[in-house]
Amino acid sequence: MDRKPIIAITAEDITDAYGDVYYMAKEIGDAVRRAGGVPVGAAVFGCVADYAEMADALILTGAQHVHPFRYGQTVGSFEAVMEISTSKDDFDFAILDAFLKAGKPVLGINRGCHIINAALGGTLLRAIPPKIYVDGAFVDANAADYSEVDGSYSLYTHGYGYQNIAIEHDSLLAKYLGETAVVNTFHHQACDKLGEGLRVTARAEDGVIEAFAHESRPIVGVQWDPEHTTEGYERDDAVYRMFIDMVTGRTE
Amino acid sequence: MSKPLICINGGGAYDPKFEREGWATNKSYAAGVAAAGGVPVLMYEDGCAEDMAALCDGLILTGSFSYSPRPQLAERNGSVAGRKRVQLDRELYFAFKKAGKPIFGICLGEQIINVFEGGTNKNHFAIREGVEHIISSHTVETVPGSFIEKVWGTSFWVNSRHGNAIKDVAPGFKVTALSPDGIIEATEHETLPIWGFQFHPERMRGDRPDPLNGPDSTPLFAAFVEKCAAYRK
Repeated sequence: MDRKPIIAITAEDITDAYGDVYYMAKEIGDAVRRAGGVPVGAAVFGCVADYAEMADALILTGAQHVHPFRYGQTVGSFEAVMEISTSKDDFDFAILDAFLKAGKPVLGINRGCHIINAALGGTLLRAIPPKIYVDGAFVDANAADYSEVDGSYSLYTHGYGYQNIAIEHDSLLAKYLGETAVVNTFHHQACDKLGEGLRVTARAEDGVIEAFAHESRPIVGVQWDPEHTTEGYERDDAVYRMFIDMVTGRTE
Repeated sequence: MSKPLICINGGGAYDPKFEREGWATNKSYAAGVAAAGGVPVLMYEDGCAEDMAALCDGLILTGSFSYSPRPQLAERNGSVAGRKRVQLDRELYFAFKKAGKPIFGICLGEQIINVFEGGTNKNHFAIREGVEHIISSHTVETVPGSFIEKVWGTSFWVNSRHGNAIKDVAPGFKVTALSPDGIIEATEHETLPIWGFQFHPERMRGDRPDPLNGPDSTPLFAAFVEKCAAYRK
């Protein structure tokens, strides 16, 4: 490819008291730009086939939970419904399908890796088992939960903060990140049984799946948000560089 | 690419100050473009103007919360909300204009094009002129032969949601519609494919159009998408 690849990135779909907007977080666009791609936002359901024609690759983003019916389970509680956006699910599964049919590379970030896994027949771990603190826990206005005594993060082990992951030594990811890395963590769900053709490429210390890759197709997913600097984590473009290299065919 | 790609700009979500973290685009613009056979392409960063002008076939500069189109006023006012957006709107506008690609300016988009091209705007005209254009509706009278007259005819109802308006239209542009109280409601370039609207056509579609007695705006978006498609051939 002798030009910069066009990377379609799904927009956040926000409807609330203030407005009805598509939102594009610049830190994701900036990371794609630094890695050598041209980031553009994709958002309209009726245009998914056009986006797959327009762009060289797709990045799936976002944070909402995937509706459990997408992987053969039931919701179970009314509280769980609050975490779901059916229109976002409809769009994400449709645009993923369009890019897979076109044979174009796909990267899933956080919710994006759940979408890929569910679409390929996998399931999600719907509530990562909580750590138990003897001193109780505190949940702040941002839904971040942490110990009242020592301030250590997260009643739920992956709810907020940072952690170590171990990367499969023979994976492409290891060539870009090494065999261990510190990553941020903002999720209550994770991939459980992996979809057809997907292989684990990284795990957290408690065994939660942190990254996967397809054994034969250009499909990768990571559970963390590589572009997002937070306490204990400096943004790292390695995952984006890996993906752009996959798109341009420059990986070893 | 089989369908025309239409770049739609964004602004700070909810408040112009939020533009540091991301761009937000009202869904109604994207829906209008998609319904007219175009493919909406959204912005994910600041430095995208050249690439967008190379990739896309047309540009829509959208409306927004009020902000100053002159960043240099920052020195006088202490701060100007929307500085990044002004800069990117300018870069997008001139990149698409240079490429000869069609441009729609809506509300603020119309006003900012006027400023970029050397015209002047008037702020808070309700106070000075006693004319109310905030969350109201009114008729417009169009100029025969203009782009908007060809789509919608000589007189029709539109929504009205603005506190500022064009005062003196920029050189090279002409007025193509006026409200009964004398506000400039549409403009177009004399030779280039650039059109501006003070009202919000993207809100004049769907199950609950604004105003209820206005024309459906899908033909207006379709006329624009058609121009973008024609440019490609």
